Amino acid sequence: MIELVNVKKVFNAGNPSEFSALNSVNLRIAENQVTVLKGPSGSGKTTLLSIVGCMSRPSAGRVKLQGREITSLPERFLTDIRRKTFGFIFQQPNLIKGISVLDNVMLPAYPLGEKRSHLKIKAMNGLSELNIANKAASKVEWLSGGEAQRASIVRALINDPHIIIADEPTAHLDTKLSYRFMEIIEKFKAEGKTVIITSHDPLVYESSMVDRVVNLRDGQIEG
Amino acid sequence: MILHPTVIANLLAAYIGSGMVLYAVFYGVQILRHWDIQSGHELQLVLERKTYLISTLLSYVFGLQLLSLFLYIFTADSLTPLFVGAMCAAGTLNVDGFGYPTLVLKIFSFILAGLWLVLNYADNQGYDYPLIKKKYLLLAFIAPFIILETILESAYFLNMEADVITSCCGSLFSSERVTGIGSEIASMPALPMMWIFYSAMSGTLLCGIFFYLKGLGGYLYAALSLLMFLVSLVSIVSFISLYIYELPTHHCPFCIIMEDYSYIGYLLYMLLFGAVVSGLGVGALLPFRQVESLQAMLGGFIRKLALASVILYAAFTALVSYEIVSSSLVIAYEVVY
Amino acid sequence: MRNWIEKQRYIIDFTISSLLRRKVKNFGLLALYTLIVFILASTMFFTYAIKKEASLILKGAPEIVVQKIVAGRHDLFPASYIETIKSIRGVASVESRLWGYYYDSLVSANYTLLTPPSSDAAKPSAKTTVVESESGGQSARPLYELNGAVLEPGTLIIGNGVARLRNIGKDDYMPFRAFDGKVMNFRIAGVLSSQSELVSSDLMLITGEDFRKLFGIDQSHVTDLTVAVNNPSEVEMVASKIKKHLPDARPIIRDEILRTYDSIFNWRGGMMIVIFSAAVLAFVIFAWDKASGLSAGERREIGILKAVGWETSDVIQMKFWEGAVVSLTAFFSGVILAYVHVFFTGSIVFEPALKGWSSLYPNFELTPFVNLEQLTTLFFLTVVPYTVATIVPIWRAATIDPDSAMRFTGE
Repeated sequence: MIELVNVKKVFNAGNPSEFSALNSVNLRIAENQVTVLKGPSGSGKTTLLSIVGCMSRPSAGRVKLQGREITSLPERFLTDIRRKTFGFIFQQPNLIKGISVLDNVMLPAYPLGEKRSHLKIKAMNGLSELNIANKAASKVEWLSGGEAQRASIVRALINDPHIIIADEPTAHLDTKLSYRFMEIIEKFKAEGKTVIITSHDPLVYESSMVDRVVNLRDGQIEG
Repeated sequence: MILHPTVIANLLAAYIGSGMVLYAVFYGVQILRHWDIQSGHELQLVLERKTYLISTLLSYVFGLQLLSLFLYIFTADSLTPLFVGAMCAAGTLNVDGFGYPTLVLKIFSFILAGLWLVLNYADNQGYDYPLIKKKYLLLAFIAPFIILETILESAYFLNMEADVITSCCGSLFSSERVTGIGSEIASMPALPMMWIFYSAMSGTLLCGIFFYLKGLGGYLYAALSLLMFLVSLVSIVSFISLYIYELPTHHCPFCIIMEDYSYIGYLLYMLLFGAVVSGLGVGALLPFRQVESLQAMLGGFIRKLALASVILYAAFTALVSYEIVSSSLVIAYEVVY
Repeated sequence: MRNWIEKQRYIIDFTISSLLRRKVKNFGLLALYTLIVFILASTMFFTYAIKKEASLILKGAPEIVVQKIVAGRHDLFPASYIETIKSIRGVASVESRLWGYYYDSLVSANYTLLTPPSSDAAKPSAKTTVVESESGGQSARPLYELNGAVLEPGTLIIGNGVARLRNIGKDDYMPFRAFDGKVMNFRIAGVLSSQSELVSSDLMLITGEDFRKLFGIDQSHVTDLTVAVNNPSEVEMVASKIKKHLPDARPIIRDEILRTYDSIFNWRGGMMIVIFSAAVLAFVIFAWDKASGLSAGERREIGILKAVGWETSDVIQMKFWEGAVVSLTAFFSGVILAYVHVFFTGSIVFEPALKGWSSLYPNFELTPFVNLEQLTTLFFLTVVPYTVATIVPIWRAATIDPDSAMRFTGE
């Protein structure tokens, strides 16, 4: 369970260009549910998601992850928590060009120093589960949009996280691929994972598997 | 001054090292003044990022200090032919009053930089930067020594004048200066020193093993490891060098790092430096065992440090013993010169 | 520990693959880096090898040379002094020498004329006579070698450099203008072997009689003396006794010559380094610039790494390995190239600059001589500045926000 208390995020504090992306956000995200953060662009969705996902620290307020206060943890601890707890799916596949799909998928596990043979088996299993095992050795440039996204999903799962975070996952997908994506999300939910998605795509937030929709506007939660 | 490529390299290393430390101290002071772990403000985030820069800088300084220590001795050795009466690095370092103080400071600041890294490692294991203030105070303490070392080193090299032929007279110049440089180093008598070395080493190792197993006597071990470091240095001068050179009179602690002795000195000194840094690290970390955020890991880390120190000292002793056994020199009676 | 090693392996693998992915950018840096190492290494190898060569030759030089000084200037040495020096205790033998310079206006070159010690000329049957001072150890180099040539009155034995310059050889004639304006013709009896060319390039061997006729020196004078001493530890004592007995004599000890040569070569090498330091500085600035000017692609890559769970220190480690790979590659290729350049191709690149020193440039091959001291010095002059220059840019790159990956919207 993730709990946010009075979370604020201010950029360029003290400068004339100061602006607050989040104002006193209070939020509880329940486990084993699919939560959608919905709102227009500039509403602070991505900022909120990066705080929830331990990518950045709030300027003020508290963040608790499974009851543990993580607000003022140093970056190396946040990173450690992040890579074991969260899997990230970005708007763009954000794969690294020039190296193979398999290498890309294994990247998040490198700093953990796991044995290469184990890691490879894990990565191949993940790839075959999403039917792209045959692309493992090819470079990411040769993937289609859908394949690239599936590769990035496998990458998000490589360290076996129990919370999946997806930022506008369907923004660059056509309807058919978006449905495919939602099917994958459904599978996650069935496996007992917690899913948090930001989106303003009705196909996502109106989906039947979504348990809760949070509306954001101007850095605040509506309603 | 002697414009020699190696001298230039030495001075360059000293200035770069000082520059890095000054730069690190500059940010270290900012951290000491503005650090607030509870704050999520940008200043705090910036400072936390700076800690990465400072630890990277200090690791480089540590490496640079070690390399420049050896470079320094190399330089002294290669300048030997320029000075009347100098036989090896030991003589060259005596050319003016700055040679040996620079060397001592180099060793001292190397050990301090090593301790800083030990402290830094421990601090990085705690989720609330438990040692941050102490760490940067230590850094502020180290900086003057490194800067002083740079000043002394510059003075040493800049003051040097080679004894070259002057236009008026040739040899008179030489004979006047022939006793000017003390080439040999004063040394303890070999046989008694050997007894001291072996008994002190056994005591140190036992104490280290005891601490490793029972967790008691950590401070004692830290003190002993420092003492043992000094005893080992004296021993190198007093008897270890004799066995390596297979000469009953050559007490130089520097020639052993030269090619002629297959660079054995590097191994000896590395083992010794590693042993003293990890041994002192034990003492430096012991007071923080009760810090909440470090409780879980610090005990284990300190034991590992103690073990590393014990192993390094044991390896040093084994290497020394091997050199003694395989040497063709036999010290049956004391040679007094 | 195993995890740590495995982690470093992953990071190194990734680093190498990312270096290879940016071949063009990194190749420029690598080429420049190698060039800098190459230039500095060539200079150092060259000066150290010459220094070594000179000290090997000097090892075979006499222990004491005695000159006469008049009004602070080197003067002809009265032969009568010889007995005085011989009588000093500890002196093994005294040998007089006749040598001087002759300026040849035809080719504007200075020759060194030397009368070989009497013992050598008296051995006409020797196939190759190696002239070495008695004190020369095994490592000493011969000053010159006579290839079976016999030096008789009216003949010369010339060094290789002279032979090349004048385009003459055995049995050719060479005219000289004597001190009184008369022309003297000498037959070339032979050419010195090329092995010792560093010192014998401009050398001419001439008999004592001819030397005196050519320069108008009477029998009661010689150029200087060489003194051999029985016990090496008494050299300085003997020298000071000579000075005491003959106040106008100037004894020079071999060690002093060694020392002076050493400091001259050190100074020369140091000067070169100072001159090249401008190049090193330029390179360091270039490296700094290169390291801080991350392309959008690289930024993005680091952003992605951080977003997927790499920590700042992981990225710093990656960059450290990157620097290590680049530095070591450049360092070793520069050093190897310089080694080949100096010791196998005779410093092709430096030759024109060195040739300017004298029109009688010796054509010699240096004996390879490289030690750890030179390599450490080179390392400090090149790799250390590079590494330090890249620390701050590396740290900047490594502290890119992990959430920046979320903000990449377009390609």
